[in-house]
Amino acid sequence: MSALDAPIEEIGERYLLPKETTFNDVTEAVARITETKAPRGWWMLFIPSVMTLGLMLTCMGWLVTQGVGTWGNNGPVYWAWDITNFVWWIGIGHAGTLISAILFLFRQKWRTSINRFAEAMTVFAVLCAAMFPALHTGRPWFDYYLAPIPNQMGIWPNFKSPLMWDVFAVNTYLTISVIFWFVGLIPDLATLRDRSTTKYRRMIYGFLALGWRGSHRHWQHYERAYLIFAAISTPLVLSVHSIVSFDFATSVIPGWHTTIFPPYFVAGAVFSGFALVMTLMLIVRSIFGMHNLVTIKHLDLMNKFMLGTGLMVGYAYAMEFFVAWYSNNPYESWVFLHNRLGFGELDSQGNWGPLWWSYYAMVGCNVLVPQIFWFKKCRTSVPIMFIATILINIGMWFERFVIIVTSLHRDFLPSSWGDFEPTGIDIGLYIGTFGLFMTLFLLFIRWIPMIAIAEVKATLPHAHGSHGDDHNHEHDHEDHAHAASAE
Amino acid sequence: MASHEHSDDVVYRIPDDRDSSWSTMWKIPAALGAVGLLGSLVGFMSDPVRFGYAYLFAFFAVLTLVFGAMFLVIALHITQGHWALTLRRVAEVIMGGAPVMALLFVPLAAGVFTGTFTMYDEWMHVSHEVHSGHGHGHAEEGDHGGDHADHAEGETHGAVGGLLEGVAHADDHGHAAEEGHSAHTPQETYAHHKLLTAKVNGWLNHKVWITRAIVYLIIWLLIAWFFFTRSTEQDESKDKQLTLKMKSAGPVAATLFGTTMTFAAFDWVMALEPTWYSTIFGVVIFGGSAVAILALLIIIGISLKQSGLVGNAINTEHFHDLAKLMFGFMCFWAYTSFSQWMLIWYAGIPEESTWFQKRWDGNWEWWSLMLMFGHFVIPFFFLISRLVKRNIGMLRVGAIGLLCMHVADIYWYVMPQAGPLQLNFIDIMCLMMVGGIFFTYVFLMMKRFPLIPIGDPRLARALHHHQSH
Repeated sequence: MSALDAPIEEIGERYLLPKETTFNDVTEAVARITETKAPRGWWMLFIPSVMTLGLMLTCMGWLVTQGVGTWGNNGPVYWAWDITNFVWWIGIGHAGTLISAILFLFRQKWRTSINRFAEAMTVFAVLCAAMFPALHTGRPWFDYYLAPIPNQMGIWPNFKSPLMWDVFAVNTYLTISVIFWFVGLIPDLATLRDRSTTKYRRMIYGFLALGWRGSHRHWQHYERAYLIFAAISTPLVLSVHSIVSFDFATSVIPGWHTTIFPPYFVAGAVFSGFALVMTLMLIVRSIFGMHNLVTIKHLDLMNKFMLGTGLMVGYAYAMEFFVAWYSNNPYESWVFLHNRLGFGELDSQGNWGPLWWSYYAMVGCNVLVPQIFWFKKCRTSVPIMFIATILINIGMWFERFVIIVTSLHRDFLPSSWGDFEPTGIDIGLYIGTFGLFMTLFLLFIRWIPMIAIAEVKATLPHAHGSHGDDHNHEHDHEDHAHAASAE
Repeated sequence: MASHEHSDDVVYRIPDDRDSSWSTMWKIPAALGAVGLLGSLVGFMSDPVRFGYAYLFAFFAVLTLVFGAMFLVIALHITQGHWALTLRRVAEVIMGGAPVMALLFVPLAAGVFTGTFTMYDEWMHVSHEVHSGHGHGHAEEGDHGGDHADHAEGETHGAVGGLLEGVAHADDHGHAAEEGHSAHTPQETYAHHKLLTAKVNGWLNHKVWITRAIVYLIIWLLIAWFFFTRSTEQDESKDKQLTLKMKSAGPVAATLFGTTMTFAAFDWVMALEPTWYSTIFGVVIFGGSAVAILALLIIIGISLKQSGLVGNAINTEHFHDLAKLMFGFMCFWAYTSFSQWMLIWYAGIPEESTWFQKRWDGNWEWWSLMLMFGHFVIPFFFLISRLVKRNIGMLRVGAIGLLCMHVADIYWYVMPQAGPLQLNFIDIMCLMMVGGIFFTYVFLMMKRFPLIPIGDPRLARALHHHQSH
């Protein structure tokens, strides 16, 4: 630490935050949001979000009372927007844990400005995701059948089905994500408690802070717990989306069955998760004026990350395409050439695959758009990255749509081919989930410190200043403790 | 500040005059290489078909070390990580062995082109003739196949006489020797033929194959040259601009490297079974390469440290981090390998599952189980411990074990294509020859340059690297 950690300007290193930022600045900037009246921008987002949530509940009520026939799903497209939305949301839920756990293990300190935010997003996104498989069963009041509960009928879920593995994977991921998020919050909740001016605030934050007093022993246990959760979460980041990919890849459907699916889905999930973190971060940053905590440097690094994961996704597309051709498997090549690219003669019904355009939407948004991040100008321009992140999320939705719907609507038997048209309920429910997500999210930024106060402080240069020469002890991660005690 | 035991008295160089173990280290691979060369010659004379497979295995196993080193060097520049800086030079020198691999590719290409190595014969020499239905035969290759029916998989024998004849020939000889395999039905033979004919015209034929190989080799040479020369130039000049140059070249190099590595794995290993395909194949080979290079860096690093040549510049903290990354990539290898197997097993499509069937029949199931336990289960429980990762003796055991398992993994990718499991002295000789030549060069190069990148602006940080957990 200390002098050695000072940035070497000649090789492009900079302080993460402006050098003059003090501990108090950080606490003020983050805690103040929960203590003062919400700015107008917050209300301008919150009211439409609650209305959209209402739309979701309406559609949901209609769906549950009328049945899944109100969706556009019909043979052979038995999975459509429901599972597309599920995979899309669960993908978004990957960024949080990746930033909290994997970047933590890789000691990427820049993650501290965005990890809390992304973790909260993870939890809310997984909630939105979990809704779709629960609803698509048609009779959600029987969803407990999915759990292996001993019962008098001797009926058990099919443990050989990847859909069953999904239930376990998603639930595990949700549980661990919530615990990880909460453990990380404890020191910051204590900060809010200590700053409370009203009795109720003090009681509520005091309850949530679990008696945190910031002693060295507390910090030691906290750090240990954080590390263990990071280690547990890391394989979960990989496993959840891998198992989601198994839902498709274990089948024999051309376009579904391919071995690269597990890592490809994980890379895509991280890609889309980062994109949504960016979109929301840019909005929040401007509403609450957090420019000094989430700097252009952070955004630049996140854009690089998106370029990297975008290239991985592009690699997976290329592999699928190449192998469809290389394998000489007529079904695989047919799917990619006619159904997805739209090449070749049209059939008597109109065409080989009326949804070919969605493949171009997917490649355009996911592979071409992130290429702009090769240029520093684009990586550091807020309007450009804002538009790019939105396009990437659209592209990632189309990726799942392409995989699920286009593969199904032209299956092996031309006599069973069908088309897919979303209904109003399909659309309303999807849009409605944004209401759920944004409502929870906006409540979160109003009531919970949206940036990890203690962790950001540890990255400030003077968190190490007076202790600079004293780092021979085995664990120099008591930086956090120094940071907090300096407050 | 921390202690200064790594100060002026350490020059980070292998001494020429003094009798240090590393001054003469190159003699060990040189001796092994010489023995391997002689043994390989004997092997080549006695059994050129087996030699072809063995040479490919040895070449690819060593090449994956270059892959791994190239990946690590590029990744360290992109991420600007200082934690492994003091071990970057060793990785750079291994990456710098790329020219040796380019030279060692020449015998492989020559063997394949003259028809002496038969492993790609099913498609290599039969391009346009097959399409028109008149295969041109190489009688002498058919003879090779016939002589070694005991360990050569059926299809590799007689493909030269036109595909249909070739497959028929294989049914007569090859499969008789293979346990648990029923003979192909005429429909299967026809389907196999049909699958292949279109493919050999587009991708799998000798002209396109060699053109691609040359492109891969040129790209690897360029990458290795670029990063190696700039890094060693910085030793002298301490020019900080060089750090920036390498950093900005990183993403481009990574993109080129990822693509060429994948297609090289397709062309040289996956194409051994030309009707088989797996989209994850390149990723699995990449994961294994990363494990191998990290294991090798640990082994070499420990030896350098014990010889006292690097002072405290490479210490427990660095080994701990390397071991954690090796552990991570080992899990990644297991994850990708499992995905590849599980998805193919679950779907049970015949044209895909045959490849795994070959790795389960003919005693290969023991090898497969050995990889499962030796490359994942046992090292997982061994290396997960912090104690092991910070104990040089135990870590070395783990790293050597994983490196051996990586070689066994490449063996598993190549050799089942030659028939039932049968450890042949030619395999060992080829590995000794290729590995010996490669490491003689690498160890000699290590003597010419400082052992750590002494000009890197972040060196001080790397020297004071501490674990936070």
